[in-house]
Amino acid sequence: MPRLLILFLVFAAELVAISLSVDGQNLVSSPLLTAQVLGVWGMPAIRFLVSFAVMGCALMYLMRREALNTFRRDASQSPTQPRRVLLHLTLFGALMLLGPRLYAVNGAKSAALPVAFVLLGIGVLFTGLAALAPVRIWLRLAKSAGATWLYAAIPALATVLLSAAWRSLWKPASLATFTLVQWMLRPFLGHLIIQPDRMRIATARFGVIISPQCSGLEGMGLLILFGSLWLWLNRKEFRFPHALLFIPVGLVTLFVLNSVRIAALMLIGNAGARDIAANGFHSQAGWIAFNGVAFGLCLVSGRVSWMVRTAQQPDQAIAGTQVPELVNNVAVYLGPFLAILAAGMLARSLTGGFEWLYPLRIAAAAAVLFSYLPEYRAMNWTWTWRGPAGGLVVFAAWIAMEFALSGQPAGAAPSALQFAAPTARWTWIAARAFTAILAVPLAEELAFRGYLLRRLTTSDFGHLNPARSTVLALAGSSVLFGVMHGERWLAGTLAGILYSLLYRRKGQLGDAILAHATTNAAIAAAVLLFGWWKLW
Amino acid sequence: MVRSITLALVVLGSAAFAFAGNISSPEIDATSATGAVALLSGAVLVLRARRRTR
Repeated sequence: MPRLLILFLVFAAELVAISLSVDGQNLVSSPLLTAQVLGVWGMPAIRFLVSFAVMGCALMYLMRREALNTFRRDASQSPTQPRRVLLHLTLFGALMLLGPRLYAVNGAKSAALPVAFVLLGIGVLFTGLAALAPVRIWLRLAKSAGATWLYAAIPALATVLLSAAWRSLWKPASLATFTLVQWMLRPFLGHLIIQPDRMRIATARFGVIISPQCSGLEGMGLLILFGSLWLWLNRKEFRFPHALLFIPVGLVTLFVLNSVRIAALMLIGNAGARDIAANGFHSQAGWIAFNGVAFGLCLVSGRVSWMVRTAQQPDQAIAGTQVPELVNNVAVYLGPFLAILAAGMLARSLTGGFEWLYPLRIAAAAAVLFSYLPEYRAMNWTWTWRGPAGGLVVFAAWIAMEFALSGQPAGAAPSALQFAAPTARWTWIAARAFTAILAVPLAEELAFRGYLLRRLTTSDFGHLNPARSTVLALAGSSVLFGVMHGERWLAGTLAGILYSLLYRRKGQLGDAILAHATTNAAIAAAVLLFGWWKLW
Repeated sequence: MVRSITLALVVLGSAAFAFAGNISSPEIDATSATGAVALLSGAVLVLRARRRTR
Protein backbone atom coordinates (compact mmCIF):
# COMPACT_ATOMS: atom_id res chain seq x y z
CA MET A 1 0.00 0.00 0.00
CA PRO A 2 1.49 3.43 -0.89
CA ARG A 3 2.95 5.44 1.98
CA LEU A 4 0.72 8.44 1.26
CA LEU A 5 -2.38 6.23 1.45
CA ILE A 6 -1.30 4.87 4.85
CA LEU A 7 -0.77 8.43 6.13
CA PHE A 8 -4.12 9.47 4.72
CA LEU A 9 -5.78 6.58 6.58
CA VAL A 10 -3.98 7.66 9.79
CA PHE A 11 -5.32 11.22 9.36
CA ALA A 12 -8.82 9.84 8.64
CA ALA A 13 -8.63 7.73 11.83
CA GLU A 14 -7.60 10.87 13.75
CA LEU A 15 -10.60 12.68 12.37
CA VAL A 16 -12.85 9.84 13.54
CA ALA A 17 -11.24 9.87 16.99
CA ILE A 18 -11.51 13.64 17.46
CA SER A 19 -15.12 13.63 16.24
CA LEU A 20 -15.95 10.98 18.84
CA SER A 21 -14.20 12.67 21.74
CA VAL A 22 -14.59 16.44 21.16
CA ASP A 23 -17.88 18.26 20.67
CA GLY A 24 -17.02 20.92 18.08
CA GLN A 25 -20.14 22.99 18.76
CA ASN A 26 -19.41 23.24 22.48
CA LEU A 27 -15.74 23.86 21.84
CA VAL A 28 -16.24 26.87 19.54
CA SER A 29 -18.76 28.43 21.92
CA SER A 30 -16.58 27.73 24.97
CA PRO A 31 -16.33 31.02 26.96
CA LEU A 32 -12.79 30.13 27.97
CA LEU A 33 -11.65 29.80 24.36
CA THR A 34 -13.57 32.92 23.29
CA ALA A 35 -12.15 35.07 26.09
CA GLN A 36 -8.54 33.94 25.96
CA VAL A 37 -7.88 33.22 22.31
CA LEU A 38 -10.62 34.12 19.87
CA GLY A 39 -11.49 37.55 21.29
CA VAL A 40 -12.82 40.13 18.82
CA TRP A 41 -10.51 39.23 15.95
CA GLY A 42 -10.49 35.46 16.44
CA MET A 43 -13.44 34.58 14.23
CA PRO A 44 -12.49 36.99 11.40
CA ALA A 45 -8.97 35.55 11.56
CA ILE A 46 -10.33 32.00 11.30
CA ARG A 47 -12.56 33.08 8.39
CA PHE A 48 -9.50 34.61 6.69
CA LEU A 49 -7.46 31.44 7.16
CA VAL A 50 -10.24 29.24 5.79
CA SER A 51 -10.77 31.56 2.76
CA PHE A 52 -7.01 31.72 2.21
CA ALA A 53 -6.62 27.94 2.37
CA VAL A 54 -9.56 27.29 0.02
CA MET A 55 -8.49 29.96 -2.50
CA GLY A 56 -4.82 28.95 -2.24
CA CYS A 57 -5.58 25.27 -2.93
CA ALA A 58 -7.96 26.14 -5.79
CA LEU A 59 -5.45 28.53 -7.41
CA MET A 60 -2.61 26.03 -7.03
CA TYR A 61 -4.75 23.37 -8.69
CA LEU A 62 -5.77 25.70 -11.51
CA MET A 63 -2.50 27.56 -12.10
CA ARG A 64 0.32 25.35 -10.78
CA ARG A 65 -0.76 21.81 -11.59
CA GLU A 66 2.78 20.81 -12.61
CA ALA A 67 4.18 21.92 -9.24
CA LEU A 68 1.56 19.82 -7.45
CA ASN A 69 2.43 16.78 -9.55
CA THR A 70 6.14 17.25 -8.75
CA PHE A 71 5.26 17.57 -5.04
CA ARG A 72 3.22 14.36 -5.12
CA ARG A 73 6.01 12.49 -6.90
CA ASP A 74 8.71 13.73 -4.50
CA ALA A 75 6.55 13.12 -1.43
CA SER A 76 5.67 9.55 -2.40
CA GLN A 77 9.36 8.76 -3.05
CA SER A 78 10.68 10.18 0.22
CA PRO A 79 11.03 7.72 3.13
CA THR A 80 8.69 7.85 6.13
CA GLN A 81 10.13 9.58 9.19
CA PRO A 82 8.83 7.51 12.16
CA ARG A 83 9.92 10.18 14.69
CA ARG A 84 7.77 12.84 12.97
CA VAL A 85 4.78 10.53 12.84
CA LEU A 86 5.27 9.65 16.53
CA LEU A 87 5.55 13.33 17.50
CA HIS A 88 2.42 14.09 15.50
CA LEU A 89 0.47 11.28 17.19
CA THR A 90 1.67 12.36 20.66
CA LEU A 91 0.56 15.97 20.11
CA PHE A 92 -2.72 14.72 18.69
CA GLY A 93 -3.33 12.59 21.80
CA ALA A 94 -2.69 15.63 24.02
CA LEU A 95 -5.08 17.72 21.88
CA MET A 96 -7.82 15.10 22.31
CA LEU A 97 -7.38 15.04 26.07
CA LEU A 98 -7.39 18.83 26.37
CA GLY A 99 -10.35 19.60 24.06
CA PRO A 100 -13.26 18.45 26.29
CA ARG A 101 -11.73 20.24 29.33
CA LEU A 102 -12.31 23.61 27.66
CA TYR A 103 -16.09 23.27 27.81
CA ALA A 104 -16.63 20.70 30.59
CA VAL A 105 -18.86 22.11 33.38
CA ASN A 106 -16.46 20.96 36.09
CA GLY A 107 -13.32 21.32 33.99
CA ALA A 108 -10.26 23.35 34.93
CA LYS A 109 -10.58 27.09 34.22
CA SER A 110 -6.92 27.98 33.81
CA ALA A 111 -6.27 30.76 31.28
CA ALA A 112 -3.32 28.78 29.94
CA LEU A 113 -5.56 25.95 28.72
CA PRO A 114 -6.98 27.60 25.59
CA VAL A 115 -3.56 28.93 24.61
CA ALA A 116 -2.10 25.44 25.04
CA PHE A 117 -4.98 24.03 22.97
CA VAL A 118 -4.35 26.39 20.06
CA LEU A 119 -0.58 25.80 20.19
CA LEU A 120 -1.16 22.04 20.23
CA GLY A 121 -3.50 22.39 17.25
CA ILE A 122 -0.81 24.27 15.31
CA GLY A 123 1.71 21.62 16.35
CA VAL A 124 -0.55 18.80 15.17
CA LEU A 125 -1.02 20.53 11.81
CA PHE A 126 2.68 21.17 11.20
CA THR A 127 3.89 17.74 12.36
CA GLY A 128 1.17 16.19 10.17
CA LEU A 129 2.47 18.13 7.17
CA ALA A 130 6.04 17.13 8.05
CA ALA A 131 4.94 13.47 8.21
CA LEU A 132 3.35 13.81 4.79
CA ALA A 133 6.52 15.20 3.18
CA PRO A 134 9.92 16.49 4.37
CA VAL A 135 10.23 20.25 4.97
CA ARG A 136 12.49 20.75 1.93
CA ILE A 137 9.75 19.36 -0.37
CA TRP A 138 7.19 21.72 1.18
CA LEU A 139 9.62 24.62 0.72
CA ARG A 140 10.12 23.65 -2.93
CA LEU A 141 6.35 23.65 -3.40
CA ALA A 142 6.08 27.07 -1.71
CA LYS A 143 8.81 28.41 -4.00
CA SER A 144 7.18 27.07 -7.15
CA ALA A 145 3.86 28.60 -6.07
CA GLY A 146 5.29 32.05 -6.94
CA ALA A 147 2.74 34.81 -6.38
CA THR A 148 -0.16 32.34 -6.03
CA TRP A 149 -0.15 32.84 -2.25
CA LEU A 150 -0.49 36.59 -2.69
CA TYR A 151 -3.36 36.08 -5.16
CA ALA A 152 -5.05 33.96 -2.49
CA ALA A 153 -4.26 36.25 0.47
CA ILE A 154 -5.55 39.52 -1.03
CA PRO A 155 -9.05 38.28 -1.92
CA ALA A 156 -9.25 36.31 1.35
CA LEU A 157 -8.50 39.48 3.34
CA ALA A 158 -10.87 41.57 1.25
CA THR A 159 -13.56 38.91 1.69
CA VAL A 160 -13.40 39.30 5.47
CA LEU A 161 -13.36 43.11 5.36
CA LEU A 162 -16.14 43.45 2.80
CA SER A 163 -18.50 40.86 4.27
CA ALA A 164 -19.88 43.38 6.77
CA ALA A 165 -20.50 45.93 3.99
CA TRP A 166 -23.22 43.70 2.60
CA ARG A 167 -25.33 44.37 5.68
CA SER A 168 -25.91 48.00 4.59
CA LEU A 169 -27.58 46.75 1.37
CA TRP A 170 -30.15 44.66 3.21
CA LYS A 171 -32.70 47.37 3.91
CA PRO A 172 -32.97 48.90 0.41
CA ALA A 173 -32.98 45.45 -1.19
CA SER A 174 -35.80 44.17 1.04
CA LEU A 175 -37.81 47.37 0.38
CA ALA A 176 -37.48 46.86 -3.38
CA THR A 177 -38.52 43.20 -2.98
CA PHE A 178 -41.53 44.25 -0.87
CA THR A 179 -42.72 46.63 -3.62
CA LEU A 180 -42.05 44.17 -6.47
CA VAL A 181 -43.96 41.34 -4.75
CA GLN A 182 -46.99 43.63 -4.30
CA TRP A 183 -46.99 44.49 -8.03
CA MET A 184 -46.77 40.81 -8.94
CA LEU A 185 -49.60 39.76 -6.62
CA ARG A 186 -52.16 42.50 -7.36
CA PRO A 187 -53.46 40.95 -10.62
CA PHE A 188 -54.10 37.63 -8.83
CA LEU A 189 -55.14 38.59 -5.31
CA GLY A 190 -57.69 41.39 -5.05
CA HIS A 191 -57.71 42.03 -1.31
CA LEU A 192 -54.11 42.29 -0.25
CA ILE A 193 -53.31 43.44 3.28
CA ILE A 194 -50.15 45.58 3.14
CA GLN A 195 -48.32 46.44 6.38
CA PRO A 196 -45.15 48.37 5.46
CA ASP A 197 -44.13 48.84 9.12
CA ARG A 198 -43.87 45.05 9.50
CA MET A 199 -42.95 44.44 5.83
CA ARG A 200 -45.92 42.08 5.75
CA ILE A 201 -48.07 41.14 2.76
CA ALA A 202 -51.13 39.02 3.51
CA THR A 203 -54.56 37.89 2.54
CA ALA A 204 -57.26 36.64 4.90
CA ARG A 205 -55.81 33.12 4.56
CA PHE A 206 -52.02 33.46 4.34
CA GLY A 207 -49.29 36.04 4.84
CA VAL A 208 -45.55 36.55 4.50
CA ILE A 209 -43.09 38.88 6.20
CA ILE A 210 -40.25 40.00 3.95
CA SER A 211 -37.34 40.05 6.35
CA PRO A 212 -33.96 41.48 5.25
CA GLN A 213 -32.70 37.92 4.69
CA CYS A 214 -35.46 37.42 2.11
CA SER A 215 -34.06 40.09 -0.21
CA GLY A 216 -31.95 37.49 -2.01
CA LEU A 217 -28.61 39.28 -1.51
CA GLU A 218 -26.84 36.10 -0.49
CA GLY A 219 -27.90 34.36 -3.68
CA MET A 220 -26.71 37.39 -5.63
CA GLY A 221 -23.34 37.20 -3.87
CA LEU A 222 -23.06 33.56 -4.83
CA LEU A 223 -23.94 34.41 -8.40
CA ILE A 224 -21.18 37.05 -8.57
CA LEU A 225 -18.74 34.46 -7.28
CA PHE A 226 -19.95 31.76 -9.64
CA GLY A 227 -20.15 34.10 -12.65
CA SER A 228 -16.69 35.54 -12.19
CA LEU A 229 -15.17 32.07 -11.78
CA TRP A 230 -16.99 30.89 -14.92
CA LEU A 231 -15.65 33.85 -16.90
CA TRP A 232 -12.16 33.32 -15.52
CA LEU A 233 -12.06 29.61 -16.32
CA ASN A 234 -13.36 30.20 -19.84
CA ARG A 235 -11.50 33.48 -20.43
CA LYS A 236 -9.98 32.25 -23.70
CA GLU A 237 -13.44 31.72 -25.18
CA PHE A 238 -14.98 35.05 -24.13
CA ARG A 239 -14.54 38.53 -25.52
CA PHE A 240 -13.89 41.18 -22.84
CA PRO A 241 -15.26 43.49 -21.56
CA HIS A 242 -18.44 42.34 -23.39
CA ALA A 243 -18.69 39.10 -21.44
CA LEU A 244 -18.76 40.97 -18.11
CA LEU A 245 -22.38 41.80 -18.91
CA PHE A 246 -22.99 38.19 -17.88
CA ILE A 247 -22.85 39.30 -14.20
CA PRO A 248 -25.38 42.21 -14.06
CA VAL A 249 -27.85 40.33 -16.31
CA GLY A 250 -27.67 37.38 -13.92
CA LEU A 251 -28.06 39.60 -10.84
CA VAL A 252 -31.15 41.39 -12.16
CA THR A 253 -32.72 38.08 -13.25
CA LEU A 254 -32.06 36.51 -9.86
CA PHE A 255 -33.39 39.53 -7.97
CA VAL A 256 -36.63 39.47 -9.98
CA LEU A 257 -36.91 35.68 -9.59
CA ASN A 258 -36.56 36.06 -5.83
CA SER A 259 -39.65 38.29 -5.84
CA VAL A 260 -41.41 35.76 -8.11
CA ARG A 261 -40.53 33.09 -5.53
CA ILE A 262 -42.12 35.08 -2.69
CA ALA A 263 -45.19 35.88 -4.82
CA ALA A 264 -45.55 32.19 -5.74
CA LEU A 265 -45.17 31.30 -2.05
CA MET A 266 -48.09 33.62 -1.27
CA LEU A 267 -50.23 32.12 -4.04
CA ILE A 268 -49.51 28.53 -2.91
CA GLY A 269 -50.23 29.37 0.73
CA ASN A 270 -53.36 31.33 -0.15
CA ALA A 271 -54.62 28.38 -2.22
CA GLY A 272 -54.61 26.29 0.98
CA ALA A 273 -51.28 24.43 0.71
CA ARG A 274 -49.69 26.20 3.70
CA ASP A 275 -47.48 23.22 4.55
CA ILE A 276 -45.98 23.04 1.05
CA ALA A 277 -45.51 26.83 0.92
CA ALA A 278 -43.79 27.10 4.30
CA ASN A 279 -41.82 23.84 4.53
CA GLY A 280 -41.03 22.74 0.98
CA PHE A 281 -41.26 25.48 -1.59
CA HIS A 282 -39.86 28.26 0.63
CA SER A 283 -36.28 27.04 0.82
CA GLN A 284 -36.03 24.85 -2.29
CA ALA A 285 -37.31 27.50 -4.70
CA GLY A 286 -34.36 29.76 -3.80
CA TRP A 287 -31.82 27.14 -4.82
CA ILE A 288 -33.81 26.15 -7.92
CA ALA A 289 -33.85 29.80 -9.03
CA PHE A 290 -30.13 30.23 -8.33
CA ASN A 291 -29.18 27.05 -10.18
CA GLY A 292 -31.52 27.90 -13.05
CA VAL A 293 -30.07 31.40 -13.51
CA ALA A 294 -26.44 30.31 -13.10
CA PHE A 295 -26.71 27.36 -15.48
CA GLY A 296 -28.93 29.28 -17.90
CA LEU A 297 -26.33 32.03 -18.17
CA CYS A 298 -23.56 29.50 -18.83
CA LEU A 299 -25.68 27.94 -21.53
CA VAL A 300 -26.67 31.21 -23.18
CA SER A 301 -23.34 33.06 -22.85
CA GLY A 302 -21.58 30.58 -25.15
CA ARG A 303 -24.17 31.21 -27.86
CA VAL A 304 -24.17 35.00 -27.90
CA SER A 305 -21.80 35.78 -30.76
CA TRP A 306 -20.64 39.21 -29.55
CA MET A 307 -19.69 37.77 -26.16
CA VAL A 308 -17.49 34.94 -27.47
CA ARG A 309 -14.32 35.05 -29.53
CA THR A 310 -15.46 32.28 -31.89
CA ALA A 311 -19.14 31.56 -32.20
CA GLN A 312 -20.02 27.91 -31.74
CA GLN A 313 -20.90 25.91 -34.79
CA PRO A 314 -24.36 24.45 -35.17
CA ASP A 315 -24.79 20.83 -34.16
CA GLN A 316 -24.42 19.33 -37.62
CA ALA A 317 -24.09 20.05 -41.29
CA ILE A 318 -20.89 22.10 -41.43
CA ALA A 319 -20.09 22.92 -45.04
CA GLY A 320 -22.60 20.38 -46.21
CA THR A 321 -21.07 17.37 -44.42
CA GLN A 322 -22.67 15.37 -41.64
CA VAL A 323 -20.43 15.43 -38.57
CA PRO A 324 -21.07 12.51 -36.23
CA GLU A 325 -21.59 13.75 -32.68
CA LEU A 326 -19.20 12.26 -30.12
CA VAL A 327 -20.59 10.85 -26.90
CA ASN A 328 -20.32 13.19 -23.92
CA ASN A 329 -18.49 10.88 -21.55
CA VAL A 330 -18.98 13.22 -18.57
CA ALA A 331 -22.75 13.11 -19.05
CA VAL A 332 -22.65 9.31 -19.17
CA TYR A 333 -20.98 9.18 -15.74
CA LEU A 334 -22.59 12.17 -14.03
CA GLY A 335 -26.03 12.15 -15.68
CA PRO A 336 -27.88 9.70 -13.39
CA PHE A 337 -26.51 11.35 -10.24
CA LEU A 338 -27.47 14.84 -11.43
CA ALA A 339 -30.92 13.60 -12.40
CA ILE A 340 -31.42 12.23 -8.87
CA LEU A 341 -30.26 15.52 -7.32
CA ALA A 342 -32.57 17.59 -9.55
CA ALA A 343 -35.54 15.28 -8.90
CA GLY A 344 -34.84 15.49 -5.16
CA MET A 345 -34.93 19.30 -5.21
CA LEU A 346 -38.14 19.29 -7.21
CA ALA A 347 -39.75 16.66 -4.96
CA ARG A 348 -38.87 18.59 -1.80
CA SER A 349 -40.20 21.86 -3.22
CA LEU A 350 -43.56 20.31 -4.10
CA THR A 351 -44.15 18.55 -0.80
CA GLY A 352 -44.47 19.80 2.75
CA GLY A 353 -43.27 18.07 5.90
CA PHE A 354 -43.03 14.60 4.32
CA GLU A 355 -41.51 13.91 0.91
CA TRP A 356 -44.28 11.92 -0.79
CA LEU A 357 -42.72 12.53 -4.22
CA TYR A 358 -39.49 10.70 -3.34
CA PRO A 359 -40.05 8.16 -6.21
CA LEU A 360 -39.47 11.00 -8.71
CA ARG A 361 -35.79 10.16 -8.30
CA ILE A 362 -36.28 6.71 -9.81
CA ALA A 363 -38.01 8.12 -12.87
CA ALA A 364 -35.31 10.76 -13.35
CA ALA A 365 -32.40 8.30 -13.00
CA ALA A 366 -34.14 5.75 -15.26
CA ALA A 367 -34.64 8.38 -17.98
CA VAL A 368 -30.91 9.22 -18.07
CA LEU A 369 -29.84 5.58 -17.86
CA PHE A 370 -32.13 4.76 -20.77
CA SER A 371 -30.85 7.64 -22.90
CA TYR A 372 -27.24 6.40 -22.61
CA LEU A 373 -28.06 2.67 -22.68
CA PRO A 374 -25.56 1.74 -25.46
CA GLU A 375 -22.71 3.40 -23.50
CA TYR A 376 -23.64 1.60 -20.27
CA ARG A 377 -23.91 -1.72 -22.11
CA ALA A 378 -20.37 -1.27 -23.37
CA MET A 379 -18.98 -0.87 -19.82
CA ASN A 380 -17.43 -3.64 -17.75
CA TRP A 381 -19.94 -4.60 -15.04
CA THR A 382 -18.20 -7.72 -13.72
CA TRP A 383 -17.90 -8.15 -9.96
CA THR A 384 -16.42 -10.44 -7.32
CA TRP A 385 -17.42 -11.57 -3.82
CA ARG A 386 -15.38 -8.67 -2.45
CA GLY A 387 -18.17 -6.26 -3.46
CA PRO A 388 -20.89 -7.58 -1.11
CA ALA A 389 -18.29 -8.35 1.59
CA GLY A 390 -16.98 -4.77 1.45
CA GLY A 391 -20.55 -3.49 1.57
CA LEU A 392 -21.18 -5.38 4.81
CA VAL A 393 -17.97 -3.97 6.32
CA VAL A 394 -19.15 -0.45 5.47
CA PHE A 395 -22.57 -1.22 6.97
CA ALA A 396 -20.97 -2.40 10.22
CA ALA A 397 -18.79 0.74 10.38
CA TRP A 398 -21.79 2.96 9.52
CA ILE A 399 -23.91 1.50 12.33
CA ALA A 400 -21.03 1.62 14.82
CA MET A 401 -20.46 5.31 14.06
CA GLU A 402 -24.18 6.02 14.27
CA PHE A 403 -24.32 4.54 17.78
CA ALA A 404 -21.09 6.28 18.81
CA LEU A 405 -21.94 9.76 17.45
CA SER A 406 -25.75 10.01 17.60
CA GLY A 407 -26.83 7.19 19.89
CA GLN A 408 -29.56 4.66 19.23
CA PRO A 409 -30.94 5.06 15.66
CA ALA A 410 -34.36 3.70 16.68
CA GLY A 411 -37.23 6.09 16.09
CA ALA A 412 -40.82 6.20 14.97
CA ALA A 413 -41.64 6.27 11.25
CA PRO A 414 -42.68 9.75 10.01
CA SER A 415 -46.24 10.46 11.16
CA ALA A 416 -47.42 11.10 7.58
CA LEU A 417 -46.38 7.54 6.74
CA GLN A 418 -47.89 6.03 9.87
CA PHE A 419 -51.31 7.53 9.19
CA ALA A 420 -51.30 6.88 5.43
CA ALA A 421 -53.40 4.16 3.80
CA PRO A 422 -51.51 0.82 3.71
CA THR A 423 -51.22 0.87 -0.10
CA ALA A 424 -49.72 4.37 -0.11
CA ARG A 425 -47.41 3.51 2.82
CA TRP A 426 -46.00 0.33 1.29
CA THR A 427 -45.70 1.86 -2.18
CA TRP A 428 -43.62 4.69 -0.71
CA ILE A 429 -41.46 2.28 1.34
CA ALA A 430 -40.89 0.05 -1.72
CA ALA A 431 -39.93 3.06 -3.83
CA ARG A 432 -37.61 4.38 -1.10
CA ALA A 433 -35.88 1.00 -0.76
CA PHE A 434 -35.65 0.54 -4.54
CA THR A 435 -34.01 3.97 -4.89
CA ALA A 436 -31.55 3.29 -2.07
CA ILE A 437 -30.58 -0.21 -3.21
CA LEU A 438 -30.51 0.18 -7.00
CA ALA A 439 -30.70 3.75 -8.31
CA VAL A 440 -28.46 5.54 -5.78
CA PRO A 441 -25.53 3.04 -5.76
CA LEU A 442 -25.48 2.97 -9.56
CA ALA A 443 -25.66 6.76 -9.90
CA GLU A 444 -23.24 7.61 -7.09
CA GLU A 445 -20.62 5.02 -8.03
CA LEU A 446 -20.66 6.16 -11.66
CA ALA A 447 -20.23 9.77 -10.46
CA PHE A 448 -17.79 9.48 -7.53
CA ARG A 449 -15.70 6.46 -8.48
CA GLY A 450 -16.18 6.12 -12.25
CA TYR A 451 -15.79 9.86 -12.90
CA LEU A 452 -14.45 11.90 -9.96
CA LEU A 453 -11.77 9.49 -8.67
CA ARG A 454 -10.28 9.24 -12.17
CA ARG A 455 -10.95 12.84 -13.21
CA LEU A 456 -9.06 14.18 -10.18
CA THR A 457 -6.10 12.12 -11.40
CA THR A 458 -6.16 13.12 -15.07
CA SER A 459 -8.34 15.10 -17.47
CA ASP A 460 -8.38 12.10 -19.82
CA PHE A 461 -10.29 10.11 -17.20
CA GLY A 462 -11.98 7.80 -19.72
CA HIS A 463 -8.71 6.10 -20.56
CA LEU A 464 -7.31 5.87 -17.03
CA ASN A 465 -6.95 2.48 -15.40
CA PRO A 466 -8.57 3.03 -11.94
CA ALA A 467 -5.63 1.24 -10.29
CA ARG A 468 -3.47 4.20 -11.37
CA SER A 469 -5.66 6.83 -9.73
CA THR A 470 -3.73 8.85 -7.14
CA VAL A 471 -4.07 8.88 -3.36
CA LEU A 472 -4.99 12.59 -3.49
CA ALA A 473 -7.79 11.79 -5.93
CA LEU A 474 -8.99 8.98 -3.67
CA ALA A 475 -8.98 11.32 -0.68
CA GLY A 476 -10.65 14.19 -2.54
CA SER A 477 -13.40 12.09 -4.11
CA SER A 478 -14.09 10.29 -0.81
CA VAL A 479 -14.32 13.54 1.17
CA LEU A 480 -16.74 15.01 -1.40
CA PHE A 481 -18.76 11.79 -1.23
CA GLY A 482 -18.81 12.16 2.56
CA VAL A 483 -19.92 15.82 2.35
CA MET A 484 -22.92 14.70 0.29
CA HIS A 485 -24.08 12.71 3.34
CA GLY A 486 -24.59 15.81 5.52
CA GLU A 487 -24.28 15.09 9.25
CA ARG A 488 -22.93 11.61 8.46
CA TRP A 489 -20.03 13.06 6.46
CA LEU A 490 -17.43 11.09 8.37
CA ALA A 491 -19.12 7.72 7.84
CA GLY A 492 -19.72 8.75 4.21
CA THR A 493 -16.03 9.57 3.73
CA LEU A 494 -14.93 6.23 5.15
CA ALA A 495 -17.47 4.44 2.93
CA GLY A 496 -16.11 6.39 -0.05
CA ILE A 497 -12.55 5.27 0.75
CA LEU A 498 -13.58 1.61 0.93
CA TYR A 499 -15.63 1.72 -2.28
CA SER A 500 -12.69 3.45 -4.02
CA LEU A 501 -10.24 0.78 -2.84
CA LEU A 502 -12.56 -1.91 -4.18
CA TYR A 503 -12.77 -0.10 -7.53
CA ARG A 504 -9.02 0.46 -7.72
CA ARG A 505 -8.22 -3.18 -6.92
CA LYS A 506 -9.34 -4.68 -10.23
CA GLY A 507 -10.82 -1.68 -12.00
CA GLN A 508 -14.31 -3.17 -11.77
CA LEU A 509 -16.99 -0.59 -11.07
CA GLY A 510 -19.33 -3.54 -10.46
CA ASP A 511 -17.52 -4.26 -7.17
CA ALA A 512 -18.04 -0.69 -5.91
CA ILE A 513 -21.68 -0.63 -7.02
CA LEU A 514 -22.43 -3.98 -5.42
CA ALA A 515 -20.68 -2.93 -2.20
CA HIS A 516 -22.72 0.29 -2.09
CA ALA A 517 -25.94 -1.60 -2.88
CA THR A 518 -25.20 -4.14 -0.12
CA THR A 519 -24.62 -1.36 2.43
CA ASN A 520 -27.86 0.37 1.47
CA ALA A 521 -29.81 -2.91 1.44
CA ALA A 522 -28.55 -3.73 4.94
CA ILE A 523 -29.52 -0.23 6.11
CA ALA A 524 -33.00 -0.62 4.57
CA ALA A 525 -33.35 -3.99 6.32
CA ALA A 526 -32.30 -2.43 9.65
CA VAL A 527 -34.90 0.34 9.19
CA LEU A 528 -37.72 -2.06 8.40
CA LEU A 529 -36.81 -4.90 10.79
CA PHE A 530 -35.59 -2.97 13.85
CA GLY A 531 -37.42 0.32 13.33
CA TRP A 532 -34.16 2.32 12.98
CA TRP A 533 -35.95 5.07 11.06
CA LYS A 534 -33.32 7.70 11.84
CA LEU A 535 -31.08 5.94 9.30
CA TRP A 536 -33.47 7.01 6.52
CA MET B 1 -7.83 45.44 -16.37
CA VAL B 2 -10.11 42.47 -17.02
CA ARG B 3 -8.10 40.39 -14.56
CA SER B 4 -8.55 43.08 -11.86
CA ILE B 5 -12.28 43.31 -12.49
CA THR B 6 -12.63 39.52 -12.31
CA LEU B 7 -10.60 39.43 -9.09
CA ALA B 8 -12.76 42.19 -7.63
CA LEU B 9 -15.89 40.24 -8.55
CA VAL B 10 -14.53 37.10 -6.90
CA VAL B 11 -13.86 39.13 -3.74
CA LEU B 12 -17.31 40.70 -3.77
CA GLY B 13 -19.00 37.35 -4.26
CA SER B 14 -16.88 35.70 -1.56
CA ALA B 15 -17.72 38.56 0.81
CA ALA B 16 -21.42 38.03 0.30
CA PHE B 17 -20.99 34.29 0.74
CA ALA B 18 -18.94 34.70 3.93
CA PHE B 19 -21.59 37.08 5.23
CA ALA B 20 -24.31 34.56 4.37
CA GLY B 21 -22.52 32.06 6.58
CA ASN B 22 -23.33 34.23 9.63
CA ILE B 23 -27.07 34.46 9.17
CA SER B 24 -30.00 32.12 9.10
CA SER B 25 -31.69 32.55 5.76
CA PRO B 26 -34.31 30.03 4.62
CA GLU B 27 -33.79 30.59 0.89
CA ILE B 28 -30.08 29.87 1.24
CA ASP B 29 -30.88 26.84 3.44
CA ALA B 30 -27.63 25.10 4.35
CA THR B 31 -29.12 21.59 4.38
CA SER B 32 -30.01 21.90 0.70
CA ALA B 33 -26.80 23.73 -0.19
CA THR B 34 -24.62 20.66 -0.75
CA GLY B 35 -27.05 19.07 -3.19
CA ALA B 36 -27.68 22.35 -5.01
CA VAL B 37 -23.98 23.18 -5.40
CA ALA B 38 -23.23 19.60 -6.52
CA LEU B 39 -26.02 19.79 -9.07
CA LEU B 40 -24.79 23.08 -10.51
CA SER B 41 -21.14 21.98 -10.56
CA GLY B 42 -22.03 18.71 -12.28
CA ALA B 43 -24.26 20.42 -14.81
CA VAL B 44 -21.48 22.89 -15.66
CA LEU B 45 -18.98 20.03 -16.07
CA VAL B 46 -21.37 18.28 -18.44
CA LEU B 47 -21.86 21.52 -20.39
CA ARG B 48 -18.11 22.09 -20.75
CA ALA B 49 -17.59 18.49 -21.88
CA ARG B 50 -20.46 18.85 -24.36
CA ARG B 51 -18.77 21.84 -25.97
CA ARG B 52 -15.52 19.89 -26.32
CA THR B 53 -17.18 16.88 -27.93
CA ARG B 54 -18.69 19.01 -30.69
